[in-house]
Amino acid sequence: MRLLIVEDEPRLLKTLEKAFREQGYAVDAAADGEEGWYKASNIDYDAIILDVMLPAMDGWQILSKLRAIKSTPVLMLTARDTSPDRVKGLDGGADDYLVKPFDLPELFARVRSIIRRNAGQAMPVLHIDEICIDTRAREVTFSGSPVALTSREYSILEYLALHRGKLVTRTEIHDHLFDENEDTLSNLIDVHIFSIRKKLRSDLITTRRGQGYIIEL
Amino acid sequence: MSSHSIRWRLQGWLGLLLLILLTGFGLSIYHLEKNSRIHAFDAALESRVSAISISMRGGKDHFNDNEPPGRFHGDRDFDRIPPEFDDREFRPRGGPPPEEPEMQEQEINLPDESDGTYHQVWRHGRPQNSATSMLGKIPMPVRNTRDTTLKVRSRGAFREAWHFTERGDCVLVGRSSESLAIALQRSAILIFCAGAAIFILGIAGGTWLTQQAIKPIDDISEAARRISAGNLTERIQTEGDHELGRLAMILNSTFARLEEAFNRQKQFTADASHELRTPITMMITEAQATLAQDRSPHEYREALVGCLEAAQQMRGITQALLQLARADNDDTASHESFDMASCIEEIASVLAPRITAAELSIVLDTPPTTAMGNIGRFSLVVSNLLENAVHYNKPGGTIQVSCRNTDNGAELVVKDTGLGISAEDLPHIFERFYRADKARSRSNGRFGLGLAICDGIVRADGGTISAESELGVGTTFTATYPLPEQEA
Repeated sequence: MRLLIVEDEPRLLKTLEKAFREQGYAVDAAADGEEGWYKASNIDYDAIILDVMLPAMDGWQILSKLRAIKSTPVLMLTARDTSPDRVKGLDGGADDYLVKPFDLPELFARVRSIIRRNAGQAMPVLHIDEICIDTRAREVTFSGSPVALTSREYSILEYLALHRGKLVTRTEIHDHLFDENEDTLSNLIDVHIFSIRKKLRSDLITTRRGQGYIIEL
Repeated sequence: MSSHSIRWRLQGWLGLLLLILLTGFGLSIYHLEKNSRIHAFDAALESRVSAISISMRGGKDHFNDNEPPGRFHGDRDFDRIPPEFDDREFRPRGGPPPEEPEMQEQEINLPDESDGTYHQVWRHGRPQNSATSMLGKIPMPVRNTRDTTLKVRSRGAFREAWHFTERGDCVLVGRSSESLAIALQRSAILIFCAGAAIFILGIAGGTWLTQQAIKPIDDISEAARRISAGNLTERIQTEGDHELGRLAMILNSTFARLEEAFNRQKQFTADASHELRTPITMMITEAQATLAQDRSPHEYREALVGCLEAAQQMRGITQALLQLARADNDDTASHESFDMASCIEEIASVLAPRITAAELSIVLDTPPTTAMGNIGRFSLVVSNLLENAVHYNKPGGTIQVSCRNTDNGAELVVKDTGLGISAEDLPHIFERFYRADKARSRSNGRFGLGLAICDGIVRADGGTISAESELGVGTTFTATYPLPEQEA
């Protein structure tokens, strides 16, 4: 999952970036509104965490411009906690709204929730036959016994499972699982897919040659 | 409700006043009525006494001349003037009235059934007729000296007029005063009814009047109640230039000022909490992210540094807020005459390293300038304005600080060659948490409070602060302090 965090307080931005990386997300960071808008409009993120008070262009402006071209899930972060502010945020197209100061686990949960809902999944636990993917703990069980996947492998599996029945191209996987600072070879994805098949089931992920991967319904 | 109690009190007083007036008035009228009725009653009796005694003396013509018929009610009944009376009553009994007293007596002795009048004549102290036996024995009046004037007396339920003739005979005419009492009672009832009607009308009118008078007060109290319920935008609907209208206007302006102060306070609290939220978020996030898993000592150090920075930022904000609150509320700070120049020089020397680091130069023009105020707070103003000038200056720029005594007071002028402030921002720069350049982050320790603090402090010392600015050229802040008393 690839996230964009737009926050003007450098220290907070750094901490959030690190925390989400540790959660297995690919994270891009933007320190002001213009940079945030540039990245949000050019890259398909799984979710955007957007501060409201931003230099150059504030969160509301970014949100309204973004909604004209994309439906990327957006979570607004703000220090304004009055009800009219929240209404304005949600009516302005935000998927969720979190008031500072927040608890990190809550922020994680809310980000997971907006990503899940955007992919059309209501529950945090995804089931594919006897395979069970718990997005909260980032754990996979196969017939009840836990399977040890690497963070990357898990991310790829989660992404494919969330978009089950839909063909996912290699570029898409690349775009969603690696942030702008990583320069990975795309054949690394094949290696991860191979490993996932070996650890779970060989027929779990189907390869469409020249197109991409799919977990069939 | 208090308005009710006022209303009822007014009503009560009005009722009491009305009652006293009406009672006094009614009693007077009753008294007058009673007197005039008794007088008329007595006059009728007296005229009959006169008639009898004249007839006893045989002075019929004289009587006729003196007492025109019809003058008193009931004359016809017992006087001998009306012809029919003469014909029916007197003629058959006594024939033409000659001079014989006996005959006259017989005639006069007729009891008058129609109005209950009776008479009694005493000759030489002996009663001459007993026609009044049913009335009991009538005591003969006592004669004082040789008084022949008409006298009136009340005897039980009877009213009697009598006089002694020159010969010493006594003529008494009496009549039951029952009819008089009934008439008086009727008058009393009439007066009472009229009084009660006036009282009721008066109370009704008073109710209406007090209601009219109380209504604006009710409006005011109703508006005040709504305002006290938390709706500060409420106002009293005023009409007219009467006393209560003016009161309502005064209250309205008070409410407006309250609302303004309340909104300012609310805004300030919201801003302050907003400013504090960011560092608190930083601390919580940093700590939670770090504690999520085991870290290397380096990472822990990083996290602690982050928390420390956030804490220091909070300290800066709380200090600034405290200064602001003190400037707002501290009226006890000492107020004395001080030299602006030495204070400015001292602060400039403290800030010199920062000014040099920012590649700026400072120009001081500080002749000795005495001002009235608190030197500690003044130095806060100087350092805030200087820090501001450093922060918003361009590299290579200059800061000019000058002070001088003018006719209006002692002036401190801080001029920078910085970014300047746009015309739409200029009116707001002394507001709390107002940052003209929102792009500038809080990280440099600017919370948008410095100028607000300056404004609060200078005002607290009785001075004024103003700013002039041109975008891209620079900003000039001028703080004017009052002069010490002896120099003013």
